[in-house]
Amino acid sequence: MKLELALELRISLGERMHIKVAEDYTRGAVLIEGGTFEGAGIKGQIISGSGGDFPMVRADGSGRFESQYLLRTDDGAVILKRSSGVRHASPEVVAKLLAQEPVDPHSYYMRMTPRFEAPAGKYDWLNRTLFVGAGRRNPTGSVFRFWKVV
Amino acid sequence: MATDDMPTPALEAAFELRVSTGSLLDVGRLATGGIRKVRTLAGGSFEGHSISARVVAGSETHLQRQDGVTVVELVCLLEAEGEAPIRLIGTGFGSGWDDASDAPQPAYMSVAFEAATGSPHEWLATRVFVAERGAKSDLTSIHLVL
Repeated sequence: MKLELALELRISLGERMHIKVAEDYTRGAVLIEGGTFEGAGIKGQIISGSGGDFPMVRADGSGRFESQYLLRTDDGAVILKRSSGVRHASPEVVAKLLAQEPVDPHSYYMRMTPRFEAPAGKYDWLNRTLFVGAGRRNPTGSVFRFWKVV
Repeated sequence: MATDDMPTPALEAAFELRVSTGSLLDVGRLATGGIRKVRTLAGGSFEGHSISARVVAGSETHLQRQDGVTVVELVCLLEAEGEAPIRLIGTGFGSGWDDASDAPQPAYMSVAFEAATGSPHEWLATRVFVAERGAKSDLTSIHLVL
């Protein structure tokens, strides 16, 4: 198996909310304001208000996250993107991330496995391809890169 | 595109999963679309990275979609001597079982683990893994996404 870089997403984030489900289980909700994506043969915008990022945060700051939102390619195709993954970091780094302070993206592990639902046609390769991704969280947004597993 | 501003993932061979399967259970064509088939796991082994475990339960299910892609879900319960069980959940894409030979076809999966807090294998739940199975093989190679 090897990885081939396929796609980069730049996302601006909106309102953040937290649901304290239990003492050691908080569900975050970060709404997507918008953004762009680009890769070989595919380019477009992230549809504003179409979803968000929903991390499950443990008391030590680690946790899993899930995201779901829509992409619209420059030629009009609408694609559903879903992703699940993990974030793991030292408590000090997690505290900075939660406080929305700048953090070196190499100081934490943030990997995910995105899935896509694209209409039949030129983008339907997304529907049968396994991806892995890495993320960088900035104070006002995120950058994700996705690699095809081939 | 410049990629040095954030980590670039790499794959590291981590585990080898070998399973033996039971008979095929054909759920049939679903009202919600696709054809569902299930095989229970009869046993197997899980080796690598400071662990040697056996497969004590599980199943592999396929959803054969109309676009020709088979969605694979593999769930196993792993048990090492004297340790709490670990749950493995793999989801991905494949080509179904070979109709003629009844053998598994190639599949790529993402893999997640559930392991008890305090267990020596707790770290498994904090990382992302991907897996590959070759044609007509009982071996699934699982790689850690670095």
